[in-house]
Amino acid sequence: MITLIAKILKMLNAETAPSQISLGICFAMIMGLTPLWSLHNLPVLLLVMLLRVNLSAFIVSWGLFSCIAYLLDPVFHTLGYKLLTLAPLNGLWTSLYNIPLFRLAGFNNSIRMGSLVVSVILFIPLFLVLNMLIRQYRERILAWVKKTKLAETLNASRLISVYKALTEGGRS
Amino acid sequence: MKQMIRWKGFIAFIVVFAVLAVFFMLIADGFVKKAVESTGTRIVGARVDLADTDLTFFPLGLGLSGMQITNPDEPIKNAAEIQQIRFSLNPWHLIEKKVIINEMTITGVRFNTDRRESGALTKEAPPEKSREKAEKKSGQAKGVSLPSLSVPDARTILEREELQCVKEIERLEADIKQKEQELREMVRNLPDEEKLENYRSRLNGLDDEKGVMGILGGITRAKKVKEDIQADLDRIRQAKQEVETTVQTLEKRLKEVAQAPQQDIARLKEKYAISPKGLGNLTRLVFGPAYARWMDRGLYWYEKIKPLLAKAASAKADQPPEEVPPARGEGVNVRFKEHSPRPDFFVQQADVSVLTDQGGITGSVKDIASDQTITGRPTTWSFDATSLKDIKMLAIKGALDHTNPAAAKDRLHVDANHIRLENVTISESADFPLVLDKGRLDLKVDTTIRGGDLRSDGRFALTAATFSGKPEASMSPIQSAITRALSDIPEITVDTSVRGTPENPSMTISSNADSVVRNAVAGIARRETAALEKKLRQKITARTDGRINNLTESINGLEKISRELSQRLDQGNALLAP
Repeated sequence: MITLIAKILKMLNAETAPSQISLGICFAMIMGLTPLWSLHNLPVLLLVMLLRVNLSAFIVSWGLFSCIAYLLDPVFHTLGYKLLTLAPLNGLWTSLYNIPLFRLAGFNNSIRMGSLVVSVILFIPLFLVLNMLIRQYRERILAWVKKTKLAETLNASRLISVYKALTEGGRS
Repeated sequence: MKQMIRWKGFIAFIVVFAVLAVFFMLIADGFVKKAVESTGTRIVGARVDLADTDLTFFPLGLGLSGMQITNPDEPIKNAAEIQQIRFSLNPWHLIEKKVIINEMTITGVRFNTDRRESGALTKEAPPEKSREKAEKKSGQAKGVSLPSLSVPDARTILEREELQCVKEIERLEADIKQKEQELREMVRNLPDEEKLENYRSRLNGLDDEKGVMGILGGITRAKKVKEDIQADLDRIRQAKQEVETTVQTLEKRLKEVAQAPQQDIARLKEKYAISPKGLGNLTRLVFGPAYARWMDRGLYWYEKIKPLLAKAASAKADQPPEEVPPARGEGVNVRFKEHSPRPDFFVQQADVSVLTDQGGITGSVKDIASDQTITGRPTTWSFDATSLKDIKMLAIKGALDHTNPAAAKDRLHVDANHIRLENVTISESADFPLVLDKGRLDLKVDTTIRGGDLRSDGRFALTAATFSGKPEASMSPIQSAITRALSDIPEITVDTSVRGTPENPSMTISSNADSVVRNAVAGIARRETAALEKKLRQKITARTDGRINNLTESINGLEKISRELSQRLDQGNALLAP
């Protein structure tokens, strides 16, 4: 647990660009909320590997979103089923259903559709919000925390020693 | 831009997926094997095993070898064993999650083969019980037991049977004895001759009274004596009435007992005599169980296949699935109208070769579809064999037509000519073993199931048949008559008719052999029955006549008591006379 917190802190405190961390979390949201064995996760994974996305942020967030997905399954099913049976969209779904690639993607599954729509809609807003939050954290909270007596006290604690060890390990 | 791309990551992605693809190709055979086995097992309800699978990617195709389909009723046997199944697949259809096979080859199909180990899914019953159950259900018994064709002699019957008439006689004997004791006890307590004579002495003594007072006293005493006599006479009269009632009851029972031997004779005759009517159902007894077994087996597999067609038909496109809560994490797959609709599973043609002890049977099955409403074509099959060892011609044709599920029509036509039969056990009864030495069988069976109504008509014609049983010398006249009658029929025809539903069929069987056998044995059966009745009558009356006479005498003995009481009444009445 301490190691995990240290990793998050290291990630946030490092000089990594906020957009790389945000992008990692956003991609993790798609992979975590939607069923793992889905065709759309293949390009998502390719983008995660190809783009300079923060992998630590991606991996940690993926686990977190997978837990959230389990809780939200009924919501995704209801939303996905409503969308798939919505009369105005029937033409679109029918066209996609007749394209082998989409059939293989299994878009007609209620949970897959619901979770994918939610994660795609949230992708850009979450990206922007996270970017802003990370910047705010670094500019205000981190600077303020470093100046507090508590931070100085903690500097000698086990948490910080682990953090430092990891930081040094990461650099070497 | 350069900073945004991580080429090492891209290469790692490609390498990982290439390794996974190679790994999948290596283990794909195992996956396919497992999938085929588990799907087959689920459908059949008993283990389906595969020896090997051979998945090829370029071109995409699959070979399944050594398939064993367990017989769910007899898990130690395979319902079918298939040497090889081979077919090619269209990858584009597979992407659409549809298995479309244009040509399939199924070779080396054998039925009812032995398994090395049980293919039951659940814990198996002990082997003996399991085998017995299986034999009972699948009817592996080698023959049937015919009704008894010889009459046991009267002595044997009487040793074996308990006679109701003897029991009735014993009961009546005991009752008469008890009643006699009771009545004699009652009579003993009644005023006897001596007491009545005593009254006479008392009355005579009254004449000696003298004087007015003496005369008046005498009158009073005389009145008292007469009252005593009257009271005694009333008791005697009542007792006499009781005796007469008892005698009447016993006489009535005696009449019934006298009829009892006749009833016993009738009962034993019914039980042991030969009934030409019973023998008239000979073909049903011989042929019925076997035919019912074939029908049962056919309908069993029909019921297994039918849901596969019905299931697909119920899951139609354009109709949103029923909104039932799905299992967690699974969701619901909504189906949409396809531009070029295809069923999930379709085999355009499967060429099949079946191996039997008689030789090979080849044929084809066309248009095997999981949803016939899409293909618009029924599944049809046609098998022919003209070079079998003992069968000149065999043709099996049929169709499962569920193109319109509301008016599904399934049919099966079996036609076989010149089936050579030799040494076929018809009856293995120790009393009357019957063997078809040789004969030639032609058969035609048409079965249709339309909208749940079963209709099956069959005609079996046996020509040039000869039968044999026990050595002629040890046969009863009836056994000889049946054996001769059957052998003399130029063509034995059996007509079967099954109506009802697949779940509840009812069968009728008729044959020209029935009337021939009935006529052949009728005269002999009548004579033997009359002889049996005569012997039974002699033996039973010998046992009962004497005892019935004794009973009559005992009842007459009771009538003596009545007469004795009448005498006492007369005596008493004489005393009261003026």
